Amino acid sequence: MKFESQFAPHITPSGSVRRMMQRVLKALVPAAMAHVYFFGPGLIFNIVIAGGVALAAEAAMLRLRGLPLRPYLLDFSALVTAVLIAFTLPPLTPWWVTATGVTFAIVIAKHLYGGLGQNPFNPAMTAYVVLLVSFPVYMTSWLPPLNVDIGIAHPDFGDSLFYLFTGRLPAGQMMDTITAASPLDVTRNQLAQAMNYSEIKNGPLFGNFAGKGWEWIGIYSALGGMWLLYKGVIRWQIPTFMLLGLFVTAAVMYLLNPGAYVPSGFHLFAGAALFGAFFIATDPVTAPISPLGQKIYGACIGILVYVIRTWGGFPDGVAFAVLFMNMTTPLIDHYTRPRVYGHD
Amino acid sequence: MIAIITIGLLALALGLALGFAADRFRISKNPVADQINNLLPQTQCGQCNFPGCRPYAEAIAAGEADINQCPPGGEATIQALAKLLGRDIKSLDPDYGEEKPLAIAVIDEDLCIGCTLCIQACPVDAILGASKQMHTVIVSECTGCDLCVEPCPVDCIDMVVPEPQPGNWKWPSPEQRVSQ
Amino acid sequence: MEQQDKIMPRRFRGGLKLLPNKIQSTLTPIRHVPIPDKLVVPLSQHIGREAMPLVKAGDKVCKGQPIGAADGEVSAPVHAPTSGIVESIGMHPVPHPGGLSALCVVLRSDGKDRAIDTGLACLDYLSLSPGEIQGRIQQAGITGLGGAVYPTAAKMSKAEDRGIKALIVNAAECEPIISCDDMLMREHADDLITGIQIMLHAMSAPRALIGIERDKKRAITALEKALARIGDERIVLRKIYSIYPAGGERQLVQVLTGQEVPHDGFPQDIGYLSQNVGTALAIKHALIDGQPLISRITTVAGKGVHLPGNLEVRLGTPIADLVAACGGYHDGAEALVMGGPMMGFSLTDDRLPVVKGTNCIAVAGPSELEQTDFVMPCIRCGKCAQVCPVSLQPEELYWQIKGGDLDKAAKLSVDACIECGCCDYVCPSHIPLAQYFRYAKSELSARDRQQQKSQLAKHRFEDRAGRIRIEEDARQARLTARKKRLAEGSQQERERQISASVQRAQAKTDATVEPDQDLGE
Repeated sequence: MKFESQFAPHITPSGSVRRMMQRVLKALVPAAMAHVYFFGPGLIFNIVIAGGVALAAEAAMLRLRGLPLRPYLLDFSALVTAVLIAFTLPPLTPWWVTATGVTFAIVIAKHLYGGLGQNPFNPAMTAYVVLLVSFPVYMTSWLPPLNVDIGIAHPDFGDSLFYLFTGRLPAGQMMDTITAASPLDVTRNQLAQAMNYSEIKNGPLFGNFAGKGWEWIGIYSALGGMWLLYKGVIRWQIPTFMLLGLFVTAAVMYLLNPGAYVPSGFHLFAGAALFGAFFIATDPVTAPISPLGQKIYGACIGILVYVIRTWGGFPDGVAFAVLFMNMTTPLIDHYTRPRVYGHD
Repeated sequence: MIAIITIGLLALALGLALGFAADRFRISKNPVADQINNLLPQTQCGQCNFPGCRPYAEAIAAGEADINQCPPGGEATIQALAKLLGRDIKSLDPDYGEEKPLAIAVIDEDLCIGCTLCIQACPVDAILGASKQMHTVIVSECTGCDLCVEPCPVDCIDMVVPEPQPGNWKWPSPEQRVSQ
Repeated sequence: MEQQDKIMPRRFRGGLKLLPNKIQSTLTPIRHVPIPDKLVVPLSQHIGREAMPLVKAGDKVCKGQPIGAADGEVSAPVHAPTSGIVESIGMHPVPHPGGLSALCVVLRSDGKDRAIDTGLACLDYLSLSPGEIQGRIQQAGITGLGGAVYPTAAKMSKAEDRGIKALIVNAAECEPIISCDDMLMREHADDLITGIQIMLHAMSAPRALIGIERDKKRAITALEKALARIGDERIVLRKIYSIYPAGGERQLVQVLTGQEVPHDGFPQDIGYLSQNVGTALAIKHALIDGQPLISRITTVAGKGVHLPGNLEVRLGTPIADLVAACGGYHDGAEALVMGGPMMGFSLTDDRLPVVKGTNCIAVAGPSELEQTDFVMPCIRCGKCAQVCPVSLQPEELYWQIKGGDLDKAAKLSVDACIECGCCDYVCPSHIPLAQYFRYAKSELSARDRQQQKSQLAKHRFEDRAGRIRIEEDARQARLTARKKRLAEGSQQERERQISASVQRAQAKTDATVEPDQDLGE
């Protein structure tokens, strides 16, 4: 009897890119729910728009590059990028801002560098940075949490949808009256006004650990991230060392001068630190491979996040820190190769 | 004004230093030709239009020949030479021949007349024999250069591609497999 | 009798916990495959030079009679697996990943299975010197039966110079599906211990460490009982975690001793010699029963056969006979693999013979094997680096090899790869990583060989050019000397020399003409 010939190993492989990406999406669900609970349905619209545009852009680029559509579209990687971008956008971002960002991420930051696995920079963060620089007003118009009363009217579901697509608010409302700064922004400004942390944290936007709403999104991101760790989708080195880097640097600075800085706990739960640690910094394509390399990478991101938050020009430094360290990934990889068996 | 004088003096100083270095550290031999020769397959076949591998190596070192003129060396040699000399990789120039699998000369003993013309032609002394004695090719030494085929007056030499043996069989690349 | 109840620490990073899948073939005892009518015995079933045929077509042979003699130091003889007549000696397809053919002795069995006295047996083996025992091991054609088929006596003699601290007996058998060593230990534990004792004497080694996976409970019990009965304190059982590929020679040395084998060397260089349990049993059969290596135990398993199990089979038996002894093929049997699912290679025809290295025949059933041809790009997830047992970074090697830069791959130590397939298994993009590394390694070896050949050709060319120059110079020197002499000498002298030359020429022509004239009469 004759048989076909194949290469070893003759065994069904254990995982697939699709399964990994699906798990990442599942792990984002708790964080998404917290986001919607605190800030309204804006995130859902953003996800839908971003997802649709991402798939369309991906299909167009695959067609242009002459690659088969089905396996690449079904690997969910474009969707993951889209959802991550949606998380970084304020809930009331107009649809064309979202679309621009997502298109930039998929077309330029991913496909023009060679497609899946070849991009040196994190596409979601690249898109966020491009939008932040291009549309600063839209990108900093955060809504306050729904259960906070600072004399601002909250738009409801219908109004939000309407605004997203038409850019028009209900009568009598202006952007200024419905948006507020984010807690990190408030912290910086008030620190600059020589208030110290114990005074700042009593403000209406602040919850138990850090910014109200944001702290819970961070906690739920961490829960999702733990599940990803358990399933082996991400490894522990990057999130742990990133949070450690942030925590230790903040602790040292706070100990040196409690009046001018905020404590580590705040930094950990504020902004996108926890979210970034588990979902952004762990992007496999742009991170180093070796365990030591990942520890260095994570720690440097953590330190950079603190530096940018405290002394840099933007309220939250996660995106810039990640992009900066993406540049150094090949260098880290080169110098942290493990020793091979039998060699010196 | 001062700037002009300063730069002029600087240029003079650096020029002197360069001249001194060029003289002091000059390399008398031409090691690049040796390195190039080591990368060539040593078939001594002359398909590159030079009388052997060493002359071709020297021509490349002198800039008189291109790196893609060696068919027995093929892609691998072109890549190695490109890496050594920092030049672009080119494909083999078809004017000089095409890359073929290594063939070994085989003498048909029924036809051989013992004239020694092939022995004299072989650049690596891979043919055993003497005048009016049977000639035979030492398979392990034959480089497949083809130079013995022409001189034979009875045309008894064939170039045969040997079957892969378990000792020299190679695994195919997965990409070759997919393209099949 | 020293025993180790605790388990040896892991000691190597990486590896995989795979489903053993061995129960299917260990439920029944070892079966015997009937001797087939026609056996195809390859003359090269080992690493090293092919054996030289000792018989020709038409010869009658007995079981155990040598039919191929070892050629050189790294080679092994081949023996007739049964009695019969040699039908022919020629090129036949043999089990090889490239489907190559090699020289084989085709034997037609006469059904009588008569043996000859090989002279190998020596019940009082301790009276023999280690060199004599190694000589008999070589005579018996014994090679490593764990899959590597290196001639055992050659391995032993290379190691002897350095002195061996311990003999490592590889009973790990970590690859899924394969269970021939497990069954061998369950059923022939006493013989195995005897074989180990013979090896200890042959190597003058002070002790032996049997490395066995802790999951093989019944084999462990059998070995412990045998060790208790025989009571040899030099032989120690060491349990190891069941992680693939802890049974690889270099990994097992690392786990049992904590030391690493240098990349350009062998375990002998650090004082350890590793042999498979099947080899040890074969040594016992040779030295005690007088039987050379003519059969082995092979696992036949997978969803593609009805009754998987372990079989004792004569070398040269077609694989189709083994499958028949296992209840035949299932409908939809999809692939035939020699070796285990991780490291075995595909066979295209079941008429290929069983050889010394056939430890397992895996027959994949329908949908047991989903090889997807669509390969996604590498997403640099790093899982491959996590599982590599030799701490390579497969992903980096893959980029270099794909880009054609094999020299960089060599610098990144691709030669350390043991081709275990762990990286392949975990890759989410389904990249055939192990195949890239096999390709790179064989391509680099071929280039090295080619480079050596080129250097040799260069030297021959330069020597020849030198010789021609010397001859030319000598000729020129003679010519100038003669011209000088002629110019200086007188007219008479010149005439005398010319007539002397003419006479010489005449004498030569007469000499060549005369034999013809003789023949003419």
